[in-house]
Amino acid sequence: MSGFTIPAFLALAGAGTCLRWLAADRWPGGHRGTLLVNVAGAFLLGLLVGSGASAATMTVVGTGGLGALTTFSRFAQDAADLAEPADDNSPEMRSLSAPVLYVGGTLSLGLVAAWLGLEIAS
Amino acid sequence: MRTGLLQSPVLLVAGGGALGAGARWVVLEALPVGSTEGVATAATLAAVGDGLPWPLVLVNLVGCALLGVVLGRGADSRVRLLIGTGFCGGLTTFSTFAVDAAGLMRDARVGAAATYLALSVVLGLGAFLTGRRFAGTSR
Repeated sequence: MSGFTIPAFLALAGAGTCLRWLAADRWPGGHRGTLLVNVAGAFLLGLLVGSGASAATMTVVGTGGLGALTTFSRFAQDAADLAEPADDNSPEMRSLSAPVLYVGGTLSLGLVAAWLGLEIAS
Repeated sequence: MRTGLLQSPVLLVAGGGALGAGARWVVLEALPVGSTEGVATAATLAAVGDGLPWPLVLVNLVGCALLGVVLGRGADSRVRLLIGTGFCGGLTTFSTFAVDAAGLMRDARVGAAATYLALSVVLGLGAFLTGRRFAGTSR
């Protein structure tokens, strides 16, 4: 491991986190932003893994940058929030279609994106 | 005083994310892929999950639980940015999860991939809801 690995890792992880924050808070916003960065990050990591990048690149760009760009905790929060709308006047009318669509959409798009990345690069 | 700088949202998010990703890196380096050590010792789970990336399931579960606690406690916006968006978001990851699952599918281990996907989602969501409820009612 070169002396640049740790600072580069922290810098890319910080940058990835800021991009994810912008996607969720500015554009496209909310769970759509999280879906976007998760699927994009899965595709890019598929490309990286498929291309047989060096261990240092895998750590800095893959584990650091793309790992921090994507998130599982916000994904879980979004799924919970979609099941409990803010306007909760009629709890008996709660629909599970939105969270199920979000979870299923994220998983299937993420899996296809990662697969495509692996296929294109290898 | 440098409180203005320390309260900068960008710095809170980036710093928390870098720390969270660093913690994930350390854990994944320490626990070999496929290891069930310290994660699941039940024989049945170990048999079904042989070779699955359990360490990442554990890391994602912990991050989901911590985010639930932060939100359940009604933490102020700076804490939510530092620990929620930053640390928990950086600690947990979707990209490695998706590539691992796609790799299992490419190896024709469809059952293992489905187990990995389902357990990650159920455990992550369960951890988030448990953390949020626990923190919310303990105030």
